[in-house]
Amino acid sequence: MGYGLKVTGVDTAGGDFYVIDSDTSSTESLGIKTGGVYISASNDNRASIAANTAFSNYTSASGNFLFARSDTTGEAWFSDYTTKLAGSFVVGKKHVVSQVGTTTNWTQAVGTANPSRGDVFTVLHVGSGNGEMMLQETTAAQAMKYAVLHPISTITTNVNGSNYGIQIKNAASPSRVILDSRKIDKTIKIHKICDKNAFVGGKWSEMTTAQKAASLVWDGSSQSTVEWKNTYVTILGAFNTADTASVFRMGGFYFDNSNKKIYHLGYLQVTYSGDYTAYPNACTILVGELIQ
Amino acid sequence: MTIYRYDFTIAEQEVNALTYPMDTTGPSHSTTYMSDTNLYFKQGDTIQVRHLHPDTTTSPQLNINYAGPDIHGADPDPTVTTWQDGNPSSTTVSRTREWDSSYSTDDYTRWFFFAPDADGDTVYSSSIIFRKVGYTGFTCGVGTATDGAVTQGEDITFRVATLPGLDTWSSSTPNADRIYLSIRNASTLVLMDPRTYTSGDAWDNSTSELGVFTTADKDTVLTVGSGFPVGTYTVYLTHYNNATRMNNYDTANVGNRFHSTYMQFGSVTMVVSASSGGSGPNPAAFSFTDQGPSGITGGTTYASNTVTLSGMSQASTVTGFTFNETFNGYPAYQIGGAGSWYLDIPSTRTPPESNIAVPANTTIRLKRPASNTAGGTVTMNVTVGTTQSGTWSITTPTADTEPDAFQSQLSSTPYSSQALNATVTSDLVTMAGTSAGSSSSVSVSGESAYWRSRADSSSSFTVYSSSTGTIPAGHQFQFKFNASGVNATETSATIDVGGTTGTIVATTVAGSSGGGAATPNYGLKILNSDGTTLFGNELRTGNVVKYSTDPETVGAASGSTLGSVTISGVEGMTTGNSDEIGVILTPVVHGLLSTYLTVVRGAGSFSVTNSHTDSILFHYTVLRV
Repeated sequence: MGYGLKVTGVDTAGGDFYVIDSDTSSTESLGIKTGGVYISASNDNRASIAANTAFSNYTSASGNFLFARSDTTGEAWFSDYTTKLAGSFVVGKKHVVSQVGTTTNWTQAVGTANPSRGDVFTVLHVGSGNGEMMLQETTAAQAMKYAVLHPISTITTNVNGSNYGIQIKNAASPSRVILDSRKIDKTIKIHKICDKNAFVGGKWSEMTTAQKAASLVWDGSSQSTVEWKNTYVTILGAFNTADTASVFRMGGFYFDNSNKKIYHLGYLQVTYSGDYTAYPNACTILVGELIQ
Repeated sequence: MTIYRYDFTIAEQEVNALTYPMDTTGPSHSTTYMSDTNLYFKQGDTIQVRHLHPDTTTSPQLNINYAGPDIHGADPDPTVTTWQDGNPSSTTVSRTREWDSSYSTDDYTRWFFFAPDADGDTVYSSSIIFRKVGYTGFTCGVGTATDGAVTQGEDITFRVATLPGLDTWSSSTPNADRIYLSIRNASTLVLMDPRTYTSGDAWDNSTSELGVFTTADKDTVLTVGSGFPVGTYTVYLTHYNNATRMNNYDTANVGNRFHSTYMQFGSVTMVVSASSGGSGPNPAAFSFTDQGPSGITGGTTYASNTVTLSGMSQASTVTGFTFNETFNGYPAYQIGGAGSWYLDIPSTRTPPESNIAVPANTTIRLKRPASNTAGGTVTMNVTVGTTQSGTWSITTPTADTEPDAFQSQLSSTPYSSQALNATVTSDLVTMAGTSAGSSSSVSVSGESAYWRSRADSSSSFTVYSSSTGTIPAGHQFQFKFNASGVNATETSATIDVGGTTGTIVATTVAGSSGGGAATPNYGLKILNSDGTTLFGNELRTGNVVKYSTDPETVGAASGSTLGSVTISGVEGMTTGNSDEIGVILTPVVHGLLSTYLTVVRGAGSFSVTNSHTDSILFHYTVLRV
């Protein structure tokens, strides 16, 4: 198109980074869908969930980003699905049908032709065995603070005025708003992006000093308390299961609130023998600070 | 040092104006060998006289007096200068003087004696002249050379720069006042007569076996005959010995008066080499072709090439046979193509190497076992007549412990995107190019580097070790090390096997992209009501480039072929800008499946590969920061 607005930032190393470019056709900024900032102990506006509760407004589809943290020092584990027993009603949730019963006796879902996109359906039949349905929703095993980011074009609520500000559209046809100042009164400042396999992981109680050093995702020791309490990590691709034979956890974190450090955790441990294998992060991790 | 005693009877000669006749009554004295000297000697010797009075009837016995004053070179004096008995016993020394270092620069003295007759008239007098001889600049060599080397059949010249103390030579007494050159075998000290090996005189100024120096002739030429034995010799300078007695022997025992070892006062070394031409019983120079290390097996007996002797006009004998060490088997030589092998077995042949007939110009060859030691060399040679062969050697190969280059077998290096501190294990290498039965040293370097080996694929590996060790020829080995604990860091490990090295390199995954945003004072920003910047060029927030709304499916892997699906239309993506645009994959079923998925970046697109044997549903989000 050749006209419009293009903003390029400069980082501390003198390198450029992309901010916005109206010549693009699909790239758009992110807005805060859920989440608030910590200002003080008596003025804590962060979104919270209790243990074993699904995060609100988050799905792994549709360009969502889920950031979470814990104010409680210790391990934090997450799961990206929950199970539903036969006869359960599942409304407005995306889900996956996993194998249940025997191979000749599969779960059947009623109410949609495509169970991976289920809107409303009933788990009708799960055979004679221990049938279950895996429902795609992300939960935390511990109470968490969190924030959810959505593409700006999908956010409908004005939070920063309604009839003033700046709106930038892209070059798509029809054009799409890729920045709308009315939709943002807070944002996540990205501190760090960590690639897959960047951290060795492990089980906190079993990890050596060297392993912990190699699993340090974020060192916020220079941050203020406010900055630290507004600092989150993404918890994408998490996995947490345990039975009598083994414990298998991936994509977890250890929040050290005393030293303002966040470590990646991931391991498989055989219960009867205690044999233990560390797992690196299988998914990209973002570290961001919610500011307002 | 030598003690020379000179006995004389004082002459009936009235002393008149200090006219003391030189004594000429010594035992061998004549002008033939000393024109004006009673006794030659060398530095450090002791000179003595025993003087006798001719009147032995007068009683008491008449005495003999020493003149005393230093006149006409009479210095140093004898230790006793008072009158002494004119008829001493045969063992009594009348006067003596050790020529010690106090007199090192003095090479002449003359002692004067006088005695009375029965009437008390001094009618007897004599003097004795002593000369100490020395030399400077004694050398020998062919032509103008001074290296002492000479080949059979050549002339060698002996030279001396000065001969201090030697009386001036005169043509009227041509055999007097000479210094003699005597040739002795350097090891046995046997006196050699060079005339034995020449058809005429050997020396250019002497008809005897001794060479000669005089004050008028300070270089002399020796013809080294073609039969002169090869070897090292010492050529000594000696003076004539006119002593009555030596070294306090009470009977005459002066030995040879021309070349006795007592009179030696200088020497040079002469090395006689074999003539290449040969003559008489001595063949021309000959040698054998050295063998090895290629094609030689330690302990195996090898024969030399056959050499045909030449230059001989008559039969000869083997006169020498030497070798450096003995192994299983014995060195031997063979005369004539069908002749017996003459083994060097000391217990059965005395001497083992000699008296074996050698027909003129026949053939000869050698044999012996090669050394059992890798890299060892055995040598031997044989001497026919006076011609010693060149030294024949057999060299056992040095063990080859340096394997062929094996870096190409480490085909998996470099190892990219390794987890921090991950263990990186090399490909398996099969060692080649070393000697059978040998072992090569091995060492590894690198962070937590270890190596192990095994004989072959059916054998068990040794335990991983970080210490140095050895790997036998033909074995397989591999090594491992820990990747860096720091993101995006390249480290390596190297294994050294017998001097050949191989290296593997690992780079850890990038830990983070970009850096924190700076705070420029220009550009664009959006503030909230608090004045907090929510958007702008000083804030790295994040943009979503592309994302899935329905799950994508990547097919199952089949054998070594990964399942793959391509997502196109990813604006801004290139293969190299992972620090700016990232792809986040979230499997639909559960996060565990992430371990099977890999993003392969492209230009404006990316592919997701699947190593699982089932297809995988996933969502993706492309993030740009």
